[in-house]
Amino acid sequence: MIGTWEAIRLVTEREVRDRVRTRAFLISTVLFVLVGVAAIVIPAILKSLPKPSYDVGLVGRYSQPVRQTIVDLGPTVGGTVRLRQQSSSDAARSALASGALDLAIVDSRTILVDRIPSDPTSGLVRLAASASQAVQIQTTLENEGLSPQQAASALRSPPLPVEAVQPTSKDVSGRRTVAFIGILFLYIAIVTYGGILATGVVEEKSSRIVEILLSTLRPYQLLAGKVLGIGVVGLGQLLTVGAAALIASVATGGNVLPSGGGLTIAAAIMWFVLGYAFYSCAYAAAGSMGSRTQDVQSTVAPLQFILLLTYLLGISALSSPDSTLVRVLSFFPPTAPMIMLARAAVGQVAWWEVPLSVALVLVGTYALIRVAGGVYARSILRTGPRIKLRQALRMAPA
Amino acid sequence: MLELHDLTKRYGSVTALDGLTFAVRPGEMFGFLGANGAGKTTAMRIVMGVAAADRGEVRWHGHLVGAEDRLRFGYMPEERGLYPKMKIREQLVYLARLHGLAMERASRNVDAWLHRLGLSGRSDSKTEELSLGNQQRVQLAAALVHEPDVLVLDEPFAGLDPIATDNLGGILKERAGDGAAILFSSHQLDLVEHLCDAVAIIDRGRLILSGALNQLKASGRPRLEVTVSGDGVGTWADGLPGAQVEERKGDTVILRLSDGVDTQAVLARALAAGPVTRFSLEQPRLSELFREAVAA
Repeated sequence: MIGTWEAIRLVTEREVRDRVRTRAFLISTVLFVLVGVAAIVIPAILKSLPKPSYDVGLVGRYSQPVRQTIVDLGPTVGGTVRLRQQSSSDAARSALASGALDLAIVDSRTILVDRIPSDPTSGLVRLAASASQAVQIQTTLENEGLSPQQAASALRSPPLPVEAVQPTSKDVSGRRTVAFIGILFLYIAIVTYGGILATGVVEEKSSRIVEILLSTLRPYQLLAGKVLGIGVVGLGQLLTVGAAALIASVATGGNVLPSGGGLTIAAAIMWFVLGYAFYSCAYAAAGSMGSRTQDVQSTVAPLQFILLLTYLLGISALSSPDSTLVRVLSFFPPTAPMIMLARAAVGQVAWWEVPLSVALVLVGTYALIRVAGGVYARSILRTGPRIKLRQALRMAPA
Repeated sequence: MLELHDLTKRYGSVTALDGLTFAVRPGEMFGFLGANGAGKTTAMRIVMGVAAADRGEVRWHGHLVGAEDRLRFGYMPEERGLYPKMKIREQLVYLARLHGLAMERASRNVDAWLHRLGLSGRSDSKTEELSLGNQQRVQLAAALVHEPDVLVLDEPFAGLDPIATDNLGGILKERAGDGAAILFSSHQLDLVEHLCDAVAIIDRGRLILSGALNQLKASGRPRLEVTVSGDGVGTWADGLPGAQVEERKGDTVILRLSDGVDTQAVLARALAAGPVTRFSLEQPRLSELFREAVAA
C-alpha cells in the first residue's frame, strides 16, 4: 500500500529533480543571484566612492571665523571645502572657467559659479545657498557690533532638535528599496513558478502520462506533489538569492542593509510562500484546461494579468502606504502578499494587521484549492479541445 | 477474477457503454474486440479508474476494485504516455515506486526489463530521443515493471512489426503463465485468435459475444473449403441448402454450414462439377465470428 504522504513525496521528488536539472533553472538562478548581489554591491560601491571636494575662491577680506564657517559647510553638502584666496573678481572668474574653482564669493556680496547646475539639489547649489546665508548673517551681525568671534558662535549654535509627530524610522527609504526589490522578486517568482507549474501540468496531460499516473494516484496527490516540488525549488532559489545578497552585504562592510531591511527580506520570503500557495493551484487548474503546451499562454493569461496589476499596485503602495485602498487590498488574499509587504516596510501597520492578513490569505488559499483543485481533477483527464473555465467549473468528474 | 459488471457510461447524448458485463480469469489471455468507437477504451479506462462509470462496477476477486488493488494493475493507455524529456530508467523506477515498490526492487525490475527488451544501453536516454519502436518497448516496461496481477493493454500490438509482435505475444503469454489476468484490445483478429483463451466482442457499448475462444468456435457455423480442379467459377455451390457461399476464388469455394447440413451431399455436388482436390472442414475463424456478430 502506498500512503498519501509517500505518494506526494515521490511526486515532489520527481518535480524537484526534473526542475533543478534544466538549463533554464541554472541560468535563472545565476541571473537572480547576480541581480540580488548587484542590488547590494552597487550602492556600497557608490557609498565608498571618494567624496567631492569643493574649491571655494574668496575675493576680499574675510575674518577667520567666517572662513571656518564656510569650511564647516563641507559635510552638510556631502563633501569637503577648500578655500582659495583670489586677487580679484576677474581672477576668480577665469579660475572658475578653467575649473580650478567650483564657486567664488566676491566681497561678501556676490556668489559666482561657472554654470548653474540643472539639478537644484546638487551639492554645489546647496553649498552656494548655505555659503551665501553664512556670509550674509556674519556680515549683518558684525555690522550690528558683534565681534567676528561672537558672530561666528551665534552662527554655530546647535540646531534645534527635530521631533517627528509620527513615529517613523530614518531608514524608511532604505526599507523602501528593499521592499521594492522584494515585490519585484515576489512578482517574478510567482509568475515564473506558476507558469512552470501550468506548463508541467499540460505536458503531463498532452503526453497522456497522466493516464498512467492517475491509475495509482488520486488527482489531489499528483497536484499536491507538483505544487510542493516546484514550490520547494522556487523557495530554494529565493533563499539562494537572499543568502548571496546577505553574503555580499557582509563582504561589502555589513551595514548596507537598512535597519529593518533584514526583516523585510524575511517578510518577502514568507509572502512568497503564501503568495505561491495561493496562486499555484489556480495556475495548475489553468494548465489542466489546456490540451497542448501552446494553450497554456491563453489559459494562464487572466492570472498573469491579476498578478501584474497587483505588482503595479504594490509598487505604488510604496509611496502611499497608508491610503484606504492600499489598506483594504493588503487584506484581500490575491493582492495581500505584495501589498502587505509594501505597507509593512514603509507604512503604519498595527501589530495585528500582518497576522490577520496572513490568516485571510490562508483562508483564501483553502477556498481556492477547493475550487481550482476540482477544476484540475475534472479537466486533467479530459482530452479534446481546450476547456473553457465555465465548462471546467460545471463538469462532472471524468 | 476481474469482473466488469453492468458498466454504463454516457458522454452527453452518446452512450459509450451500455450494461457491459464480462470477466477475465487469472492466467487468462483475454481479447477485447470491437469496431472503432465501440467502447473498448472507455471500458478499460473505467477498469483503471481514470474514468468513472455512470452505473455498474469493476470487481477484483469479488470485491470492488480500489486504489490498493490498482497498484497491482499494469496499464498501457490507448494514446500511450511517458514523460518525453525524462530519462527512461529514472522514469520506469518512478512508475514502479508509484506502484508501491521499494527503491531497490524497483531498480532491480527496471534493469531486468530494460535488459530483456534490449534497452540496457539506452537507460539514460530521454523518451523523445528513442525510435518509436523503442518507445513502445519502454511503454510496455512501464506496464510490467511492478509485476502486476492484472494487465490492461489498449491496442498493445498497434504499430509493431512482426518480430516485435511475436516478442510481445511471448511476453504476455509468459505473464499469463505466471497467473496474471491479461485484458487487451486489438483489431488484429488473427493475432487475437492465435494468442487468446477467451474474447469479448462489443458493439456500440454492448456485449454481443463472449466466452472461451474454443467454445465460441465450436458453436459457430463451420467453414468448408472445397477446391474443384479446373472449375474456375464455383457456380456448383449455388443453391445448396444450409450452405452459404462465403467466398469464391478461382477453383476454390468457401462455404459456411448451418447446423445439420450433410457434408456428403455437398461433396457429391462438388464431384459432379469436376475432380475435388481439396475438401476441408474447419472451425470458423475469429474474424468470421466477429463479422457475423457485428453484422447481426
